[in-house]
Amino acid sequence: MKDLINKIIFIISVLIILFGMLMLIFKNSTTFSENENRYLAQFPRISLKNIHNGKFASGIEDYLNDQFPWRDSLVGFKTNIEYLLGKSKINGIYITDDKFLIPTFEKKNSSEALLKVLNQFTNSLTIPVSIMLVPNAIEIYNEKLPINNEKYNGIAEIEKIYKQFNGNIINVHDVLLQNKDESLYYRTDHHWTTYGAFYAYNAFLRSINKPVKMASEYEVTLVSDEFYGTSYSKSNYYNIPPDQLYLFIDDGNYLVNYIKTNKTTNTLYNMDYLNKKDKYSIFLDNNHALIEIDNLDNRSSEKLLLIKNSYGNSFAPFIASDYDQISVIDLRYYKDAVSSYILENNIDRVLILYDINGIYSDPSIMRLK
Amino acid sequence: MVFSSTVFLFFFLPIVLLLYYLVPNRLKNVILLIGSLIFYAWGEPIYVFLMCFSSFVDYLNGILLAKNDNDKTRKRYLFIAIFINLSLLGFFKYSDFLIEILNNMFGANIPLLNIGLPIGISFYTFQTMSYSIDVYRKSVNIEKNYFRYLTYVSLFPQLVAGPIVRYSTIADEIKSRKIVFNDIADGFLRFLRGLFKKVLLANNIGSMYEIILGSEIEALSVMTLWFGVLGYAIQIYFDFSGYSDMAIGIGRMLGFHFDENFNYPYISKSIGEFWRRWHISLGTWFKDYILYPFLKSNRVQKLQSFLKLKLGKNWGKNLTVALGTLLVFFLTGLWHGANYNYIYWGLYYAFFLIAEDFFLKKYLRKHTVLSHIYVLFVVLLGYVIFSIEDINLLETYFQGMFGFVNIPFIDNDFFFYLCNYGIIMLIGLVFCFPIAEKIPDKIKNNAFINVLRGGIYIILFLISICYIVSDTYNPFLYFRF
Repeated sequence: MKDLINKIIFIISVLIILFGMLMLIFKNSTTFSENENRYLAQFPRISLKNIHNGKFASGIEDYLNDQFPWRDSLVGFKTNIEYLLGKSKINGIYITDDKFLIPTFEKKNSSEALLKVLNQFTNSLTIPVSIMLVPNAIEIYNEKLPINNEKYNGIAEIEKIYKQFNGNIINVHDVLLQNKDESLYYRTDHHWTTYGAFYAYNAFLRSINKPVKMASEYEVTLVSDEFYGTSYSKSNYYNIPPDQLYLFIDDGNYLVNYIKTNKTTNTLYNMDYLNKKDKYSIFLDNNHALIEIDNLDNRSSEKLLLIKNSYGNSFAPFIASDYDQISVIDLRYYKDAVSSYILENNIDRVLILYDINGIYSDPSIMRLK
Repeated sequence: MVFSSTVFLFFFLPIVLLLYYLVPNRLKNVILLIGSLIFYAWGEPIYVFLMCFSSFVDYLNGILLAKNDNDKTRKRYLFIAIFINLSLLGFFKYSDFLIEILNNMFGANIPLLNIGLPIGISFYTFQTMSYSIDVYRKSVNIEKNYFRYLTYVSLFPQLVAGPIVRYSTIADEIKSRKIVFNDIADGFLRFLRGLFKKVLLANNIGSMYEIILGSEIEALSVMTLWFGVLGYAIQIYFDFSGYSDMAIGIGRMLGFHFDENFNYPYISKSIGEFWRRWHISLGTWFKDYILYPFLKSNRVQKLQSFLKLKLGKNWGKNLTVALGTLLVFFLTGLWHGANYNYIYWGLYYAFFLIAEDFFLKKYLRKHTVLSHIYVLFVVLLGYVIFSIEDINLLETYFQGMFGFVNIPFIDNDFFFYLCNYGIIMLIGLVFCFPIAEKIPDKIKNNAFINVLRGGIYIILFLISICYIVSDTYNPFLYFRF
């Protein structure tokens, strides 16, 4: 009996292997994985040099793994098993009991070095510089976290920087904490929702002594209820309901100039992204070095410069209505001196907007000058 | 190439096996040789030639030894072969270590060579040397066909990570083997068990110790440090024994019967027993080719007589054996890595082995529970020495484990690791024990149990494929050999 079963196990395994082999040989290769949000390895180049340095060998292994049939299901299945076996953090993403994916807090830059760059920049300008550091979901929804080995408190880090920053500080963590019962962060993505950005916008208005806005002043539109974001891709934990993506549409008219790519549109959103996986890129068409947004209704005469990372993308549409022109700079792609841009374009105010995790893990902010 | 990879499981293994089973008996070795060379060259194309050269040296040595009866000449031939083998191993593996020692001793600044370590060199060098020594001792017949000899040395199941198979073990089988379906099925299942050990257990526990070692000592707690080593102990056992299982399993599918390399080392009641259950092929190699020749040599025999005269029979014998143990374990440690911590590790075990020989054995035999705890304690601490090459970090880790650093006994992170890795470690711990042997035959032959067993194998195989396809983390700890 034992021998018979052994032989059957062997035969079934052989069939599995043969099946896998045939599928790997005959299946057309996929170029891009929506789920993992990256390009998949293709068959490596055969050359004597590649064989000699082992790159051909590792290339084939990457190719076979990336092109494996039903790869997404296999990877998702593995993550499910890891979760079942007790893992609370997978690939740097915590999985909460209520199916919320919360990325871990990574600190790569030192607060001293960061403050030096920020203060040097602020001191070199004559115009007001405000900073808005946004806490991440891990701070606001801290009580949701499963067992964790977190070392830092993002809000404490924000307050540490705020204490020594020479410009104006805008505290958004208080208002976000107050309204945490609302959906302020996506469950499958590391960004804040448009609601989160809206509360921060009101905090910004309060900081410049302007009246706050009500949600009813906007046409709050659900543009997608099938948003699977970055955390979904990174954790490979697929047992999560999708996020809903809202836009707070106002009645303004804008001319949006994507300066380095010579593109101009009259909308703040690129709706094409609704058909792709990375729907957050609908805000300001993903990431550009420099964008100039002209307010055609000319309600103000001031120009604002927003230095931001991707958290600023969903924030920009709100402040676009309050200024004659908003310039949006992303230091990851903008290599010139920002102070030159400020002088050449008569900027009246600077707003630096990052999430605290982002500003600590982004090397490009250290280039700010 | 690595066993637990897509290219091996879905292409190399099935294709080589298919060709192997299809061709007539006289061509089977050809398939094996070509396949093994491709397997080895897959990761390290250039070093294939080194391996071929190394094995040619011992093959030639065998021919010369067989043709000559003069004892002095034979000794010379053997010496030259061993010298070449060890020089190659020394150069590729230990030259930078030697340069560091020279630099430290004489304040010189000789630049390091930074040569890549040819994969499996420690294994195949010992393997091919065993042939030379056995031929010299006239305990095995020579292999006249170089290609057959090369097939033996390069045999892909055991080339890169052991077990160290002696020519004498497979001398008959290399020439003619009987391949039965039973062996193929049983061998494959053995391979699967090794695959599960590596992919489902070892790889998953592995990342934990690495994270703990990478953390600052101030951020850790005593319990976390101990838990980390426990994880490492489970990881390295399943990693290494899993690889041996896969090697022995594939060997069986090819018609070879290799000796066992692991025999549930963690149930040992003494360190002596531990080294008879852990990496058995290495232990027996050192015993047969270093320890016994050392103890039987004229000079050592004279020393032993002298000591017996002066200190009595027991002390005389024990001291001599202790000397041998020191030598063997100094070399065992050194074999594992070109760094001081491996030497300390070897000497650490030598200390306990000698202590057991002198007086501990009696106590261990009387107290079973304590002896188990003693072994696990010694082994765990040994792993700390083995796993940390940086001596300062090693010191700090030890200080932390025994409360000499100002860190808490237990902290939140410990529970994090317990939660994230506890279950898998527990499963691992269970399989450290020989439970399969305890199951009565009646159950082993029960139909329902067997169907269940079959289902579990298939499910675990599918899960392993999931892990292999999605995981980039797949190190083999013994690969630096």
